Amino acid sequence: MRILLIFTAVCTHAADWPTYRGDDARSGVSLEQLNLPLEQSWVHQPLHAPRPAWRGPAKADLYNKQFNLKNRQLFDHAFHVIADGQSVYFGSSADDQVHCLDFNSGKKRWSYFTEGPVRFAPTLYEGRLFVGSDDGYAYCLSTDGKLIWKKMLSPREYRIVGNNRMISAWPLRTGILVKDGVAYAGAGMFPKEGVHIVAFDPKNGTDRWRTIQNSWPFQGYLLLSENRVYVPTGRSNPIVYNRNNGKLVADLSGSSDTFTLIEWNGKPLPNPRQNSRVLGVFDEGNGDSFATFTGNHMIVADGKSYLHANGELSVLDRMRYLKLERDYKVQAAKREQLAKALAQLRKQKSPEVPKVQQQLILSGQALGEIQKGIDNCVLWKTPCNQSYAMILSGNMLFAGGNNEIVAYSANDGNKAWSAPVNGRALGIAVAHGRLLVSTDKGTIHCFKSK
Amino acid sequence: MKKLLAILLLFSLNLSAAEEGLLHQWRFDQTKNGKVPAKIGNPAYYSGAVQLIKENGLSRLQLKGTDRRVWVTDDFNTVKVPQKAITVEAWVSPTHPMQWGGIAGVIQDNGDYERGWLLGYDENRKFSFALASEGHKRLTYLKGTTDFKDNFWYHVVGTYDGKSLKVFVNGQLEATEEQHSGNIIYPPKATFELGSYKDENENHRGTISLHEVSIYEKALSAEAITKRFKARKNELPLPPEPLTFSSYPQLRWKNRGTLQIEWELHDPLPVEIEWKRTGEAKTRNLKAKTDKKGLALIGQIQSEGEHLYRLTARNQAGATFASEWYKFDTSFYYRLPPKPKRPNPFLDDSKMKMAASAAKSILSKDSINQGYALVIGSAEGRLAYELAKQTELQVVVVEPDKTKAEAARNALAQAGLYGNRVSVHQRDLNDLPYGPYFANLITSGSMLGEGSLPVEDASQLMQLLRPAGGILMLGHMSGKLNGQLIKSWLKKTGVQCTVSQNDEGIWAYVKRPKLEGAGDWTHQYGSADNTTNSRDDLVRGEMEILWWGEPGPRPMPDRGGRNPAPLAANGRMFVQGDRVLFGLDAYNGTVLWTFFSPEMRRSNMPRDGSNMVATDDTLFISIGSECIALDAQTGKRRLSIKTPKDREVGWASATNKQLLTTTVKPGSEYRADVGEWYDAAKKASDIARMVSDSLVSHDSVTGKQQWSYQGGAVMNSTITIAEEIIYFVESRNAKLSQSSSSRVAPAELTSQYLVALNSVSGEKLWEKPVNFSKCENMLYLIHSQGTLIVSGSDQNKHYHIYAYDVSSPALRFGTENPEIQELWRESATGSDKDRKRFKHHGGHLQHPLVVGQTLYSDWRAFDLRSGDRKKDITVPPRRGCGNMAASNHSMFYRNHSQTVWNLDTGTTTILQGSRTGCWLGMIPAQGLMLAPESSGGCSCDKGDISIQTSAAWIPKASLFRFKKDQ
Repeated sequence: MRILLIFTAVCTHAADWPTYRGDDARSGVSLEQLNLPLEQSWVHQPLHAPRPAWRGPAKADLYNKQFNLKNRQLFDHAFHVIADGQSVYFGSSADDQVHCLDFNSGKKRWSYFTEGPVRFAPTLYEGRLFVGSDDGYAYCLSTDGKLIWKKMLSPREYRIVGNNRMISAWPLRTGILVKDGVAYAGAGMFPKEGVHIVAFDPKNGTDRWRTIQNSWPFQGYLLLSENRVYVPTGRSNPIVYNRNNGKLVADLSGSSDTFTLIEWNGKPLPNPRQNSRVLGVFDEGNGDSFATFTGNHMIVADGKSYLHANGELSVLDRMRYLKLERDYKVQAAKREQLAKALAQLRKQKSPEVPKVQQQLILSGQALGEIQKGIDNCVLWKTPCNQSYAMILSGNMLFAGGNNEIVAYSANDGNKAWSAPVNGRALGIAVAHGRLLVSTDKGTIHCFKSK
Repeated sequence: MKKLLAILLLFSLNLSAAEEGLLHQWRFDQTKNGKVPAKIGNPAYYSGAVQLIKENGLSRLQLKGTDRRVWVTDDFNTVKVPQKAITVEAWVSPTHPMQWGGIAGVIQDNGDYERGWLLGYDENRKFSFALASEGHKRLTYLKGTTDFKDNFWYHVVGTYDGKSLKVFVNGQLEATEEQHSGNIIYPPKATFELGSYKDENENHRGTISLHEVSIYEKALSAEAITKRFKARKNELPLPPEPLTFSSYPQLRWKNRGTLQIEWELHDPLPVEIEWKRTGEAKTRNLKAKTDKKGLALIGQIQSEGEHLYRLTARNQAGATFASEWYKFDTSFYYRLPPKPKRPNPFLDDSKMKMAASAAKSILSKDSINQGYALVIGSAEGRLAYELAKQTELQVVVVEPDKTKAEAARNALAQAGLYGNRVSVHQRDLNDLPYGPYFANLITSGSMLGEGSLPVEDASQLMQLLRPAGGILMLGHMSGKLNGQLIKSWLKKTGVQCTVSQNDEGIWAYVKRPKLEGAGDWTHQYGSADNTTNSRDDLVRGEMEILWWGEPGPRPMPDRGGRNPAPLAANGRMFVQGDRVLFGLDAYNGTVLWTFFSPEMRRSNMPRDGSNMVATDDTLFISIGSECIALDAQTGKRRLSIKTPKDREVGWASATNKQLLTTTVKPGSEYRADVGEWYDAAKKASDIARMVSDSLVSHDSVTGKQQWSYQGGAVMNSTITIAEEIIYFVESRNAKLSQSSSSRVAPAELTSQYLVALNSVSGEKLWEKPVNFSKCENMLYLIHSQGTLIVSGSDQNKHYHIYAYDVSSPALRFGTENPEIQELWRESATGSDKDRKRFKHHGGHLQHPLVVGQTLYSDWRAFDLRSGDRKKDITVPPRRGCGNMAASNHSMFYRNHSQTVWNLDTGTTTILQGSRTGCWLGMIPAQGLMLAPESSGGCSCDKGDISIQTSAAWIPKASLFRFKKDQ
């Protein structure tokens, strides 16, 4: 699974959960502090479980002896929700509708039919809902379920069988994000037919810019940074567009499970010793930087990286880690220079050899000390069998597992609360004092403080 | 006192061991600081996350084939190793087979420099002992006969006494070899490795558990080995006797939670079936009655996951028999989600009764139950409701009126059918936005009640109707329309229409025939003539996506094994995964049926033939000793043809009347289960050829045997049928009949003959001595227009092509002295530049194609009859391991992504984003380019392979065919 996250400074935006993982950066971070323990407030069981577009990946790459390949296309395996304190909204890949539930009771308020599966959570922006559908349309709805406008993102109205449903040949499978008065969405599957990324006016759907490319499909939740649009491409790595003009900035290279956009606008880069763990840095005026780790989810907040791998949850003191990594780099360079110098001196049979040799030994010791420090940057780690989803709300990490949702203290990793849910907890949201959990069986659980 | 006794006992054991020549012994029951202490001799070391497991009183060290390693020393010279004689004894439990599996060894195997010794195991589940001696400086891998089962314990011993090499398994001597003599010879330096195969340039990390390994500097006697086995055999769970089948288990879905399993044994036995989810300990089981044939339902299976199952039986004498732990996966369930039980949202009024009656009439006319239905005009959703309720169809309703569309949606959502089963699109009926061919059924709700023709232009509907059996059935029950009007409306489409009228109303019925000009892909290389050409005239020019969907990569075998090609006939496609087979609607991708069988696997097509072949109505699949005929639409078993005892089905070919099969020795076929690519030019384990010892003809409907041929060793990759003549190349090397395997090294395929048989009578028409020994990597035979082409490549990857004229009518009647003119031969190697363009792995394995008068081999094109190089044709360079596949106008191949070469214009188009596997994954047939998913296992993440899905592409020229025809 791959998730892009932007490191967002702690901010005090309203306690809505207006889009997938809470914000344009898909940070999965909320300032809300839920008072534990929680109790189930209501549960919504739709008639149909999600009908995902894609099943699992191949079981193994036998040639390269890689087993348990990860599913990179999990975006629609649960009905991910958004919420605004009045309502909870979600789209359904099974009944093609956008649904609205009462925030307090979970009872149906309204639903709206599109003409194809709705695989992505809506986005709430300035009192309007923005929804994409496999029918190829972007929909703008009022919060009482009335159509304000709809816009076909595809170049023409053409429907064929795709993932065993009759859908547009250009399904809208990025969700829609809106920022600074501009909406963004992508549509298209087979690059030969042209795949579109479109910036449009959220008021009426008018194109601001549109870029058509023939290299990648667009599938997965969009992510926005200050200057860029990051577009997941299904099982390939994301590509990056300039947010202002739609120019392609880069396609990210490298192979990894999870990566996070942690800094941008020319701020210092993560240490080069991350090596394969750094996906890439782009310089088009300002650079965004990435870090990856082998695991399921990563949340970067408050100078810490919360790492969620199979069977383990851990926290890295990221700032200290970065400093030590920089120190390591300086010391390693110094050591290399010493080694070169020593080789030269030996050739010359110089009397300086023992002195430099000693310096080299000291340098190696210093490097070892730094490495110890790096190893100690893990503030805590704890066994965690809930590997399907993770968010950070206040000082609690909520992790979704098989038939359970569990809270861990972000301070020390202690298990603070848990509750049963129906199925694999793949989606977690927090809004207005409620915890909302979506499972692969389509169930949406709402929990509140006792 | 006790301590003193223990010390004395230990001393005495050590003394005893030394007397017996025991140099090293490791019992894997403790590890400390990266070290495994030795009972005798030097300790072993480990790195990586090696796991020491103690359960049920038994300890073992588990290696998982990843980054883990156990070794004694990186330089064997630093420890004592046997010189004149050796015994390597081990208690091991392999997790799964490996091409190069090691248990213990000090080895260097470079092909031309072979030293040391190795106790190991292979991909064919055999244990082996290899050793190089002064008298024979080659590592000969002497193999045992036991087929090991995963995760069971075996006592494996290899001995060498200065003369004989021996392999013992579970106390029994299984193989002896007398080639060696003198001392063991070692390389100057080599690692002393445990649990893996490692030499200076190869490191095959083992997937095995080790309990104990011992090295002696003497050859233990058979008696001593048996004694040692018996002394400990009750401590370790040894495998039960294998349960043998005359028909391997076959599984089919009954519903999402239930699989039907059937099997046949050689003898009637009471069978118990156990199953569990992979990774879970808890098993469930059920008992079947005592019989040879068995049928049972495995129920309440968890969805979306891999499961293991096995069959066990006990005979009257109390002996227990067990099959392997086989697999099925509940995520390979591609039927529609269930229909919730909800009340009918419509009033039980005359309109509802009319819709129910109409649905009944429509569905009783043909047995259409799966795929897509298109309903023109909603009838407020009533007709769609009835169709969805009574079938597994996905119904698409088009309704121009917004209010009616909304009403239909609400009603159908209330019924729990909206989305998964029915969708309503609000559209102008005369501007339908759908791609061609998707609808298995087209009907009309508006015509039914209101009496209006569904659309102005009937050709618009015909374009959407699935070829080869799609049904247009339009009814009207209120008397506004007459038959003549409907006929007239349909007339300009040119289709055959039947109009019937009775008291209940009028019905127009059209069944769309096959597409004229469309070709089939019924055999591995298109048809039985092996030309790799479907002769499809429709597949040409620019292509556009038509559908995509299941199966995805999960059920498919790893992409590299050179797996059997998909097949397509009569509007259906057949896709073979890893022990799972799918029947699909070729025009809309609906998975019609799924069939699991644990021994259904074939790979390395360049050295064998496929295990499946299709006709219009039947898919024949070879599994073990039987060739099973499955109904092409339902996947149900029609009949089974079995081989004689101790033989399995090899190659097969079929028509509507005849089924031809060959027999091979059991366990010979390639399976690519450990990631083999089979593309090394000199590797014996890649290039050995599958040969058959008989060719048998059956009536394909009744299964009755018609004739059989037994001559030499018939090379499966050469069997070619054209114009009722079967051609093949066979070797008459008499030694081959003594071999235990049908997999034969090319060098042994001496005394070659090109043979022709009459396919109807089996009579030999002629034979011709030939010598195709230059074709070392593979040998292909194809027939086109009276020309036989033989091709292959040598170990330097140079192609050799031979063309023979078999067009003489006289040859059809048989002759002892055939005049078969060699038309031309070509052994040119091409320029370095040419070859570099095609050097990617498998570039030397290309199967030739014929389109028109042109033979395409490797990177060159030739005139079929004259052999003149067609230098005006530039075969596009490709970086890929796959083989090309042709229609009459285009070729399809794996480059970085799927690619089309337009033969009419010479241009290429990349179908960016999807890739096929390393053989033949795209087939131009049924008027489409069909590309079921075959890239699975490729874990790279480039845009070239961003979509892993099954898909069909349609020529743009076919998009508006009906409109063009007018």
